[in-house]
Amino acid sequence: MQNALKRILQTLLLPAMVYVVFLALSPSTFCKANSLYIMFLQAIIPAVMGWGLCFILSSSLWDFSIGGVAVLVGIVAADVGLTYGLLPMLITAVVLGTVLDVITGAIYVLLKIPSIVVTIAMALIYEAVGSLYKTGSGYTIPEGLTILGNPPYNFIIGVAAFAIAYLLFNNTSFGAHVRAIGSNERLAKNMGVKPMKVKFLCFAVCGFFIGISALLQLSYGGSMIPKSGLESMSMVFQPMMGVFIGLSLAKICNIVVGVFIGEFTMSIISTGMMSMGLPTALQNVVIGIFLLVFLIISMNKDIMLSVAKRRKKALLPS
Amino acid sequence: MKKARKLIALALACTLVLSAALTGCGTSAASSTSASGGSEAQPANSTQTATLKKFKIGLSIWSTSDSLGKSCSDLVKSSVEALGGEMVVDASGLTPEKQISSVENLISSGCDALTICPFSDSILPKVSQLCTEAKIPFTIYFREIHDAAVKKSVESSPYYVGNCCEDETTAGYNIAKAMADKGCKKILLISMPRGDTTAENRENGIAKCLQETGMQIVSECRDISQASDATKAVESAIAAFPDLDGVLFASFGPAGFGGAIQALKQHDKIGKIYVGSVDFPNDLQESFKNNTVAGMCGGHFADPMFTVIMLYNRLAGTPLADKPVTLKLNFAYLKSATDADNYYKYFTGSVPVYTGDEVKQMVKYYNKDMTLEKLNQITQSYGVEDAMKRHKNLVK
Repeated sequence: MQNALKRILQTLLLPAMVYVVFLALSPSTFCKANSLYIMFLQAIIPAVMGWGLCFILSSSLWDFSIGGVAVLVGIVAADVGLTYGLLPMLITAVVLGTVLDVITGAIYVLLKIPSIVVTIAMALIYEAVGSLYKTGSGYTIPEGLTILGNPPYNFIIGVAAFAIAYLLFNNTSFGAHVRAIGSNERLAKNMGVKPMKVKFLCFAVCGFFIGISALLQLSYGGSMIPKSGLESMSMVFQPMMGVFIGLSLAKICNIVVGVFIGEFTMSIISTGMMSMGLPTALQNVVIGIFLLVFLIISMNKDIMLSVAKRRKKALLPS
Repeated sequence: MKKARKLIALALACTLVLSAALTGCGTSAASSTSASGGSEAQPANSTQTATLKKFKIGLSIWSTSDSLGKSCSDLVKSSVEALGGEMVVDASGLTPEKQISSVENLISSGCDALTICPFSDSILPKVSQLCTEAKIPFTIYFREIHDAAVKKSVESSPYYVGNCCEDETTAGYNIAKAMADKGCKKILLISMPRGDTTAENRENGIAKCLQETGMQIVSECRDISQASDATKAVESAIAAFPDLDGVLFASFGPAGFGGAIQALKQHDKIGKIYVGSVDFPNDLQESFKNNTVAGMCGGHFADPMFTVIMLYNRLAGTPLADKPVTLKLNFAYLKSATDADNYYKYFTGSVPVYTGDEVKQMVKYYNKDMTLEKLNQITQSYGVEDAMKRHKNLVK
């Protein structure tokens, strides 16, 4: 019990520390419960995307096509929603997201081209298809179709996505295989795991979560416009930063929880910097430095602790 | 398995080539159907033939998937086709290296002339050099050259025909003033990343208004990609500044406006936080009715069409001036839901803002009375009222 409490506190330490820093720097913003609530809600969309990415990154893959998938799914789902209503829009988003990433996964598995190359090429293709889809200028959905982007629906969808990701990652043989491949692919193969099959499934699962996040994104902003020239890749980076934090926190908490903590922390930082009136360029510098410092500390924590212990020992009188 | 792999490899290669052609290497306007639907104008000089040679005009543009890019590209296409020409589009983006590649692509695809919206003055010497070496006339749209040395260098090229631009500084000032007039004190600025000439000019106008009115930019956001990014930015600004009372889009209005409105609705700020934008988004009528909009200006997508007219006059052997010229195009200003209705009706409906017949009348080859002064008058009278007057019998 005490151990569990300790782990919970350790997990919440990162967002709590970041929050306290900004509370000191910008008390007028961070003293309000409403601000915290907004930051929490803003973490939901990148977290859903992050849970999809977490399967990809955990099995030593990359997927830069998810931005292109999200844009294409958003455009098609908006069109379907405008014609047939909310439920078909939801189904289209989830099914199309899964199908598109299944295509990406199939190409990766059949051609055995590095995932980074395949996914960048697929991002270009998905973007182009989005630009060619019907009017070519995207869609805006009416207020009635945006309810899924607002509370409590976005919260409910977020919780459901969390539960699915948690169960898939921790309570299925697929999740165990993903973790095994992530730790040592050769060893996993020798133990009878089929890496290519698992990686293909990782793309399919990732697509499922990207479909949900595209739906949330469309409902949250109310419109989706096509992108070109790999512009959609910029949509990958924020969720990816959260996943990096989640992977580093994996030692003290479940990775699915870690990803949400990571995205929530990024959300606090982004609002904090905005409240301080920092220019966008400087905000990016701060985010980059934060991520680097965090990863350096979390990756080298054991070495740092042993060095500190040795120094302490050396300072003690013999 | 091997066969399937080969088939997929082939399919992937084909789709990649297709994708590159669609997104990067240009789209050829194959059809030559006139968008005007009207009768063909007679040539100005009776010794000349009725139709001009089929010129290939290159349009280097940031993208054709956003609403402004698409409107620009559609109007240029219908105008070039009305003149019997062919349009080649290269939608390479808005970064210096991509734009240089774009010019090279258009030249190598056999364009007789090209028009470009340069990211900044810095790329123009290279663009000028490439066009001069290829001996093809070129124009600049949406931009003017600010750097004196660059201007001198570009204007020294016999192939530089001129530019068309808007008064961006005044546009920025006017929209900021409209927000100040609504009582805004603390605003969120949404704009392009630093370095973009147009956005910087708009921000100069905004800064001038801030000095005069005491209004304050409390935060800024320069990385909008989708409406949801704008929703997030506005939500964060509401959380960070409870007394926020304005959101000003110096850029990204078409993509972000709807997202900003979503955030305002979500936090019950409609009518409490005003929105102003340079560049029109869609579906403005409801926002005007809700008293959410402080001011809107835009509709300047006809700009590249005018630079193409300049090029066509040059290619037809009837240049409007013997030295580079600058055309100033008006922004359309919307102040009410009725203005917005009229804008959508006359600017974005089935009849282009300039029909094929009107386009032909701007080319001296077809209309001997066309002069630079007259073309200037056309650009300076551009606006909702002007379009309503010209097309009252065409638009139902």
